[in-house]
Amino acid sequence: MDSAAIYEKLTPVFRDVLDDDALELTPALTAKDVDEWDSLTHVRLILSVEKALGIHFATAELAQFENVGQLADMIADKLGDA
Amino acid sequence: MIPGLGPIAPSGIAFLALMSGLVLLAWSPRRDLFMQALALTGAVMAISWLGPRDLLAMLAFQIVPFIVVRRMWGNKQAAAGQTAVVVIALQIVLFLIFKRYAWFDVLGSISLPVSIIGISYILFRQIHLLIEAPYLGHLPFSAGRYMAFTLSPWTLIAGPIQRYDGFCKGLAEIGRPANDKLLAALHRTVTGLIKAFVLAPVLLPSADIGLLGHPSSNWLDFIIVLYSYPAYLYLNFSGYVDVVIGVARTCGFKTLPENFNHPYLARNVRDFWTCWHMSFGIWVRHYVFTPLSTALIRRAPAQLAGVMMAVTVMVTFYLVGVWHGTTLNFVAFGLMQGAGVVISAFFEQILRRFLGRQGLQALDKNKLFHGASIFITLNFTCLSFLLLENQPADLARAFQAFFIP
Repeated sequence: MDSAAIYEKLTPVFRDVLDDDALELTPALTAKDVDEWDSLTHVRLILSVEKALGIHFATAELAQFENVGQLADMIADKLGDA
Repeated sequence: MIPGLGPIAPSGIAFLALMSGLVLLAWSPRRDLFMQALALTGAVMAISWLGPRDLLAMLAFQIVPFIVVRRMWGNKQAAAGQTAVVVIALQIVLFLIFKRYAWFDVLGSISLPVSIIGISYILFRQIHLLIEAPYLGHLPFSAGRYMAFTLSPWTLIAGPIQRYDGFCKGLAEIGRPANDKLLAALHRTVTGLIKAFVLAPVLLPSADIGLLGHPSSNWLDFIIVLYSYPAYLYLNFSGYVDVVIGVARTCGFKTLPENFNHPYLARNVRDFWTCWHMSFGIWVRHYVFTPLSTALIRRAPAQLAGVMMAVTVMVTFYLVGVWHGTTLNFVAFGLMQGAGVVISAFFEQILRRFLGRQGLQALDKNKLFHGASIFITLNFTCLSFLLLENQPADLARAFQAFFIP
C-alpha cells in the first residue's frame, strides 16, 4: 500500500475519532495541533487504525511515533512486511 | 560517602565545581570525552550520597538491564520477547525493595538499609531501553553510553526523563553555545537557583495543615495553607529542572525535555498532567497507560470500552501516586487525581453530546467558562496536594473545623 492509500485509509478514522469532518491529515500533524487529541482519544485512534488496516502495534512502536507521518511510515513498514 | 565532603547538592559549592568542569570540557577541544565525564560526574555524586552497601545495590540494579539491552539492541526479532518482560519485572521488584515502601519493607526486617538516589529516574530509563532496544539499532550503544544515560547528574537530581534518541542527539551537539544562547542558559540556571533555594523555602513553613488546629485560625489561614504547598512544590521542582536544563544548555546539550508548562493554568485534570512533570506524563502514557488501555479494550466487549478506559486511568494514577511516595497518602493522591481525570472526561463527553463539537469549542473560548475551569482545576489540584505531606489526623481536624458546621 503506498503513502497516498494509507492517508486515504487514515483520514476517515481520524475524522471520526477526533469528531472533525474537515480535518486534513498531513505528515507533520501532531496531537498538539488538535484540541480533541489527548491521551484518551489517542488510545481510540490507535485501536481504530488497527481495526481499519488489520494490523497490530507493539508497545515499542506506539512509543515511537510523534506525528501522522511517522505513523504512516510505520504502517507502510508493517504492511510491507506482511 | 566521600570523607570530608558531604552529599553533593545543587545548592553547594561541590556541585558548582562539578558542573563547571563539565562546561569547561564541553567547550574544550576534548569534548569527545564529555560522555565519559557525564557518567563520572554522576558516579561522584552518587558516591557522595551513598555508602558501600548502597553502591553495590546500585551496581546490581544497573548490570542485568545493560546485558539484556545490549543483546536486544537493533534486533527486531527480540521485540516483545519474554526476556525484557522478566527483566522489567525483576527491576520493579528491586525498585520496591530499595525504595522501602511502607507496605513492602523487606530490607527493614533484616536491618539492611539501602538507598539509591534517583533510582526511579534510572528505572524509567531502563524500562524505556528494555522495551525499545530492538528499534534503536540505528543509534550507538555501549557500556559508557548506558552509564552516562542512566547516571547523568540530571538523572540523579530531578529528571527530566529523556528518551535515548534525544540523549544521543544532545551528546552529538556538545560545544560552546552562541553568546545569546549562553546568556539564556545561564539566565535559566540562576532563575532555577532563585526559585528552588530562595523562594520555595519561604513558602514551606506555612504549608503545614497542622497549623490550622489553632482555635483562632480563620479562612485566610486556610487559603494560605492551601496554596503554600503547591506554590512551594512548583518553585522547588521547576527550579531544580531549570538548573539542570540551564547547565545542560551551557554545555551545548540542548535536548533535555521541558517538564512544566504553566500547570496551574490547566483547564482540567487531564490538561494538568500534560503541563506538570511532562516528561513523566509522557513516559507513563507510553509505557503504562497506552499499552494497558489498548490491551484491556481489545479483550473487552465493545460496549465496555469506556469502563475499561476508566479502569486503566485509575490503575495508572494509582501507580503515579505510588511512584511519588512510599506512604498511603500518595496512593490517596493518585486515586484522587485519577478520579479527577475520569470525571473531567465524562463531563466533557456529556457537554459534547449536548453542544456538539463546535458548541463545545465556543464554550471553551468563553472567558467566564475558561476562568471557572482554571479555578476549579487549580483548587482541586491544591486540595489533592494537601494529601501528600500531611498526617490524616491533621487533615481530618482541619476539614472538620472549616467544612462541617
